[in-house]
Amino acid sequence: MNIQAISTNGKEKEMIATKPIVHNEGNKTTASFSVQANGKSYDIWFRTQDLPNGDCSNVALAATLLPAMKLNLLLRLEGTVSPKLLEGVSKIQEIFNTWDESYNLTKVIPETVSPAKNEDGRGIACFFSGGVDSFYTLLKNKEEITHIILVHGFDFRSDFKRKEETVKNISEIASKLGKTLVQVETNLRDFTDEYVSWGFCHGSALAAVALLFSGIFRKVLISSSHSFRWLVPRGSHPVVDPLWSIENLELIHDGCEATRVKKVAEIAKNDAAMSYLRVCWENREGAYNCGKCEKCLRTMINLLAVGALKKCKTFTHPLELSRVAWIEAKDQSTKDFILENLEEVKKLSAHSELAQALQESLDGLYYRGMWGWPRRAMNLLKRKGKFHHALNA
Amino acid sequence: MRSMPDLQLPDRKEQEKNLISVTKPEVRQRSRKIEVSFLIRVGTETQEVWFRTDHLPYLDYTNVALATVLLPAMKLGSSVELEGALSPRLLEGVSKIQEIFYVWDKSFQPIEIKSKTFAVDENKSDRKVACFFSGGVDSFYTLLKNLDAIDSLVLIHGFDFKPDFPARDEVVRNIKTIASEFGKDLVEVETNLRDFADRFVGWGLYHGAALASVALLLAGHFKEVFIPSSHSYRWLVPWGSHPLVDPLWGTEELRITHDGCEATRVKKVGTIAKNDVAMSYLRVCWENKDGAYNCGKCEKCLRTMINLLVVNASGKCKTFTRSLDLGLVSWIEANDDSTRDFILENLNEVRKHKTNPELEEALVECIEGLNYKGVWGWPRRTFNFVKRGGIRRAINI
Repeated sequence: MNIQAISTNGKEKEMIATKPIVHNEGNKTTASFSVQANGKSYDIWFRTQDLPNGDCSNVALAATLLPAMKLNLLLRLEGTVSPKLLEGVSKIQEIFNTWDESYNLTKVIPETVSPAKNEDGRGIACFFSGGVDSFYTLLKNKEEITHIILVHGFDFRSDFKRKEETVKNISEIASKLGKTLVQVETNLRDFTDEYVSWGFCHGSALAAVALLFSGIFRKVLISSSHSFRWLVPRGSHPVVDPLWSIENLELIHDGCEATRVKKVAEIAKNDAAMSYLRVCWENREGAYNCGKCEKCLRTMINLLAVGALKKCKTFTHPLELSRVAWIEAKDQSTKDFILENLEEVKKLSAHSELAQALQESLDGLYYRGMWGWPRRAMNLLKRKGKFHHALNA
Repeated sequence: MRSMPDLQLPDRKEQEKNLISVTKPEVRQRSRKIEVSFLIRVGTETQEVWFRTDHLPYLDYTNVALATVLLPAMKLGSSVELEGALSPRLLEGVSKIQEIFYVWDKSFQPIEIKSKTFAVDENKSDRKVACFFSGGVDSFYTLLKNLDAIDSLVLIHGFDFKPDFPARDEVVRNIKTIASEFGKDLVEVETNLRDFADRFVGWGLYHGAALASVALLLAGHFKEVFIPSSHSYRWLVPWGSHPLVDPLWGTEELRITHDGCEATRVKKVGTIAKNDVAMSYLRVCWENKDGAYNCGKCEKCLRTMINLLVVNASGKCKTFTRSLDLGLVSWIEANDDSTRDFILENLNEVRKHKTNPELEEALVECIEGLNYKGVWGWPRRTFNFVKRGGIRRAINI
């Protein structure tokens, strides 16, 4: 009786990932496994063109580690895991636990431990979404990179408004730069989103996709969003990403040496980047880059600061100062990007009004209770031109 | 006949002005110590930097010279010319270090490093593992965590620990005792490095390079040197010793490991509190007010005393004799992010335990900078001063 009770109890405290099955269907390969946790079962799959047959339990480990830590469950993998990855994962656990204690240190128990067997891949890939960070990493390493990877199902979801156009553009970028485009579809987030935030999880999700290609690629580059100036707890991080490497595949976090302004200055020299740059996730009114959201505004100011706003064909909406001033700098990351832009804009004497608008956003002027209202109202009217009209009339 | 047009002369002068040249490090016996020294010429000025320790093999120490001059040269925007041989891996690391410092602070300009030869040291077998050790929380944590791996402790005279340090003899004696209690060797290194470096770069950003210089100096003895971290992964701000930078100072023969980022200071204190040696000799104080070993009044002492309190080890640590003064806690000036983070960490722990509301209140005041907020804070400051027994203390004195 007692033993049974203990063993049931034990089972409840485990997350089990089955050994991934790889099967081919037409010209697509699917790697899938199921995860039992929290009394539920999830089927997770990754679909792409060609994948080598083999045990990809390393992928399952990357896909399940953070949810297992968050749920404080022992993680049991029914396949073979790389010893190097296991070592990396113990460091990754320490780091996440230091960042946020709700990520518990947990045991990872694979059925067997053995180094990745397939021969070293020859390709070098980088994740590519068409944004500033992707373009910077691609252009910086363009001699070395052979493939670019576009993932459907992470930020870029199936209900994404301009999906077809974006895929077409990314294919054109690949062919213009002579790289092979690899597209991967996955439902991983249906599982992870239930337990962990995307901000913390996206690094491991990218690692899971990269590890699918063991034997095909020997290096996969993940482009950084933040520079060395700004290393806050975040899923993809220069200290964490390399720890997901296995014997025959190295993961590299690339681009921390450059601030966003510097990255934009670099990519502004490239025609493909200036024709297809895409940073917008909000796509208000169905636009490719809406020109109204924080990320669009940030990038437009970056472009302005390096004298390339007119060169970039994908920003058609004018830069509205009132929108800049109303950017809500509520988190440190947004603040840092605004500050970086402000430093650059201050150097340009012709844009003192933009500098003022950035300063207002940074000061949170429009988000400070009732005392801000008169000033907010006045600035709004002034920038819309209505106030001056009314006075002149 | 002049082969060069006059116009080029200012250029050449400019170049000469913007060049830091370093002589090949000399190794010589000096009384009972071995000294490695080199001359650094900046513009028209020449300065000697030396390191002294008990034993060193006669090798080329140009790697040490590079670690010493890199950041000052970047700050001046001058290229560096070194006479000896450099490690190719160090040179590769240094180019990444330059990228990182430049992103952190644009006043560190990327510079060119000129050296005539590159050499990988021949594989030296039988080398050991060392750890920098000052007797503080971070040192003890790294030592205890890697107790089996570490063979030697390295104490540096001339960095934080300067010759005029008030409790110096006692500190050296204690660290010798600690080393022998754990069965480790103690290596003492003296250097005048800061006489040179302090003129160009702040210690906060420079101390990592300084530690790397000493690690590279000892590469004949050690295959790996641990640098105990002061901050955890939660808090990776631009800082001289950093988990991404420190390993880049390594060579083919020497690994430099930044250790301990997985633990917050509270967690570190929780670990070292279990060790009797640590609880007998822990030393964190640099101010040593009234000549005390740990003054119990400065920010670092207060921070550590609260750390000890939250891990229930206050009574255990023999080197803090003063009781925790809440008045002083509330007056800690949380003027930089690093101090704030340490205070927040303590505050989170105190809140978790819910057993010490007065301490919690004092830490909140400190975080809010209440005692530094102009004239309107006065009534509240006065009230709190009286409440915490300030008048009684004043009368007693």
